[in-house]
Amino acid sequence: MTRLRLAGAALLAAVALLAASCISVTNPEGWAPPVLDGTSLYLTTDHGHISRTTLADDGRSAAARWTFPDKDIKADDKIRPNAAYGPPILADGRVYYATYEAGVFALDAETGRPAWPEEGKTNAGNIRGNIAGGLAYASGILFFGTTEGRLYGWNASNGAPAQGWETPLVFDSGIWATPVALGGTLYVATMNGEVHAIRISDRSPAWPEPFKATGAIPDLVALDDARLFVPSINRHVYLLDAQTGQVLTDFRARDWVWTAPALQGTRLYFGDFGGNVYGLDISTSPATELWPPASTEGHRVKAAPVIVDDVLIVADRGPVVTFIDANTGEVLNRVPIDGAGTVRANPLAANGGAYILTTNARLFFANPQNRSVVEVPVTGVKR
Amino acid sequence: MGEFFTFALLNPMVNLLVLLNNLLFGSFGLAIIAFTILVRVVTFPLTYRQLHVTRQMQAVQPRIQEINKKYSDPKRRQEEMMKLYREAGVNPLGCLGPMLIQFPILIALYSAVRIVLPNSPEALEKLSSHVYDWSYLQHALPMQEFFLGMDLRHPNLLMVVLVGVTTWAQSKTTVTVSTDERVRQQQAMMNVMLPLMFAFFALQFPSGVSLYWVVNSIVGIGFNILIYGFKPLGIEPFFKVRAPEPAPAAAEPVPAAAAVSSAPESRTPTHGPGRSKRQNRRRRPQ
Repeated sequence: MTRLRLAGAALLAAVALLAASCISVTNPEGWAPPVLDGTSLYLTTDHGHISRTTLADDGRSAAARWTFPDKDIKADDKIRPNAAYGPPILADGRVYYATYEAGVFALDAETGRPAWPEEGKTNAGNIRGNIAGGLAYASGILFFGTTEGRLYGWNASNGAPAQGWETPLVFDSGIWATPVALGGTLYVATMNGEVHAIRISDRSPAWPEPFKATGAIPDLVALDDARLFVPSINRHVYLLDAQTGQVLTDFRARDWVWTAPALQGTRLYFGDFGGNVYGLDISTSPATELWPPASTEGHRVKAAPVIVDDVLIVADRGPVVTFIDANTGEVLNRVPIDGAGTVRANPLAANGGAYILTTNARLFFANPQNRSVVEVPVTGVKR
Repeated sequence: MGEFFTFALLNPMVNLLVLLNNLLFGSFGLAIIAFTILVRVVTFPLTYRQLHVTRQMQAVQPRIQEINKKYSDPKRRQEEMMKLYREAGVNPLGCLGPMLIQFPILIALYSAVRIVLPNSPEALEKLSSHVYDWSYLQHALPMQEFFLGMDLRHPNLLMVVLVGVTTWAQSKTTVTVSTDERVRQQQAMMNVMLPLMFAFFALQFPSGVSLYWVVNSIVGIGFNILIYGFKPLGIEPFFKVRAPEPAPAAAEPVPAAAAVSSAPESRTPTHGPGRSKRQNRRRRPQ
């Protein structure tokens, strides 16, 4: 009988291990979108590696010029860049990018070598919490928030705290969204559902009181100089007046919204986690729906849609690329991209279509003309 | 099967965990503790049945050993054992049923804790498919990752030690069914190896999962003491075992009452780790 019990315990352990492997902890992978500068395409791949690639003239292939970190360009051995969630900032001949656990890096855009921190080092020790968003750049200062509710302002020139930002600004809840800098004001969303407007000069509040939603705000986007797009996991999307913090539109989606939108004139497009794609006319307040939600057949939409020539290109978590008529909401075509991981990063609109980066570090080009998707071979990047 | 498991077990547990987090002041650590205790209490009838059968099996062990010694023919031995089980009203596989039913529950419990832990933005994104469309639950996300100064997303050395200690303590309060010295030695080795193994696992796991394991073990210790008692502290079992029918005199080495009387340990007047098999045989009545 004891043997029977031991066998039972062994079986329990085996089943538990099997279940543990099936339902594994989801490690940070990142979803930094590709960024184009002339023919230089910056791709963040393989858990936080960033590469500067050169796009071929026809835009259908790319080759890496440098990758950070690499065997030639070292990162800290103990705290390596493992994920990046915001787009890299290109300024001052440098590439600035924030990583989830390894801090912020300023890389020479030509060589990929760190300007700061020193090569082989990290500044993660100066940061409390993880960086689940990206960087905002204003007046030579890089701003970023952390999961422990700290907002930092560092000089882009040397990575030291900027004047007036010697200590981080502390919030009641984590900051996952990339801060937005508009004029002299910084907008910060927190995971307890607040949006704060802060004057960069003296860190004083720019709104009488912060905007409060009932759910976490994991993303924040400026539609233009006057309006903010505020998606929440309480299934609401808010459009706020950037000057006053007043709600212009409170739209209830059918599922969580955690994405940036596409904007064309007064038309706003975005998807939700239930696989619904919405088109709103935001010329009125509140906004009105252009058409009944289009469907990605249940696939979660994390990446922002891209609009090219009145065709909406939506890359979902399937991953499937859906082409939708932006005027009617009619689904024109659906193209699965099998074996490529999934899509969380916002696609890049360029060369008459959309570049889509998958979690397997494969790049695809979606062409709205013939509603097709082709792979863009990229050599030399980390996979 | 996977979808059924998710729909019927995993998702309710994930949502219960989020609900408890809301009710317990937004403390995810307290939610894990309450959640583990709640699920263990709800499944107590299954645990009780399993431990009860184990105790019954322990009570008839001396007589099983007698049969083993007395009959060399395996077929006859089997027949006598089945007869004994019938007489004593014991189902030798009785503890397996409750154990098998508990497997998916325990796995779902463990998985729910891991899923709800917000160890990355991707984890929160994934959680969206498990949380019900009830704003009271969705407002709680993401969970507070700190509890008593400990980041529940990452391994914690104190929790590693506690996992090892509580697993060991749980094994010490579990009775050994067999009186066979060799099996007892194996069991003793397992009692050392298992805590070490689980402590090693805890080095890799988020401390929220370790917290679940520690609470689970503490509740398990409580159940063991309720059912088996704990002789070193003079604690008698809370639940009494139904005594097996007395065996025929010739095959009965121990008075039934002595063998059964809620004895939580396998040390009997005639058998025990302090005695060799030969000594035991010598004392056996002919």
